[in-house]
Amino acid sequence: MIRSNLQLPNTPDGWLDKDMSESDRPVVQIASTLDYDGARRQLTLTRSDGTIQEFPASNNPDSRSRGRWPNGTFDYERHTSHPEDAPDSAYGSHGNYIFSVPGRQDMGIHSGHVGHRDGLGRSGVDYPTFGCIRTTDEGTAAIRDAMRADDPVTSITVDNNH
Amino acid sequence: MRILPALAISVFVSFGPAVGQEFKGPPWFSAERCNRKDAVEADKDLDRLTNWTAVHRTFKRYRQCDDGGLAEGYSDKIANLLTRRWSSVGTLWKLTQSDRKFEQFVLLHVDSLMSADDARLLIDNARNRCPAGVEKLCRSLEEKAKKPE
Repeated sequence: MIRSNLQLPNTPDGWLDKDMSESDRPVVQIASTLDYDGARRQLTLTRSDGTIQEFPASNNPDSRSRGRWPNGTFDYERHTSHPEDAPDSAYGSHGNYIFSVPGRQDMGIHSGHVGHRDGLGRSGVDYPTFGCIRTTDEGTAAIRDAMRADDPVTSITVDNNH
Repeated sequence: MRILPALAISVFVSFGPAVGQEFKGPPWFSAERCNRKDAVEADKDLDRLTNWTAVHRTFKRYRQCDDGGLAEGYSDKIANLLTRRWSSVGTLWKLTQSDRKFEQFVLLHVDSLMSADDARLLIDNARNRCPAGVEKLCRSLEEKAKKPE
């Protein structure tokens, strides 16, 4: 078991070998990285083996919300799913991957509303949210796969999103 | 008439987030008062929001967490009640008579996350199937469905 002597990292760089002394302890680079570029409207998942997967995404919040994600790096918090999760549901087929954003709550990455248009004709990843980043079912499936593997996503870095 | 909305959408799609857009946020949200336990419980409670009494209960318990994915869940459940379960609008009216903030909560979540199809259905319900005595609430719902942002 690759994780048998590993624990969750206390740095954003990866997993730590807890059986070694602090000074000798190398950081084992097995976390996947997740990046959202607001200007390119793209979510990039980089797996520990170097595989890069890119997905369309948008952070297009309603004006009555508290707005879009701030730029920065945010730790993974939890995953939520619901019985009605499906391509056209509120969160899409694979639920919401939530990260800890200071001053905000339930800020996540999810898909959903496939086949719907809002009052301004927006659809796909451009369909509005109340703060979350919307991507495709393929994007959230890739995050799910990373979470189930030995290189889970531990944080997201958001850039160019003002 | 269709040129301006199309232009606005194409500008957004071309240049990403709108610079300088103002976001107000629900007045009852409080990051300080919404702890992790509240947020987790509120999210679990979403699956039980199949009637207005349950929505009112969750508003009273967890309104301080009304942000992000949880807020999107509220918008989804409220849209469903106002379109596919319109016959229960009388219950909503009764609850809003004793809790005006709850009325504000429901109206705030008739938002841009409501699909154009659901907005049409809500407008039709409010115009043509409004129970006696509930007209003021029906007018407010219709106006919000017409102008969600």
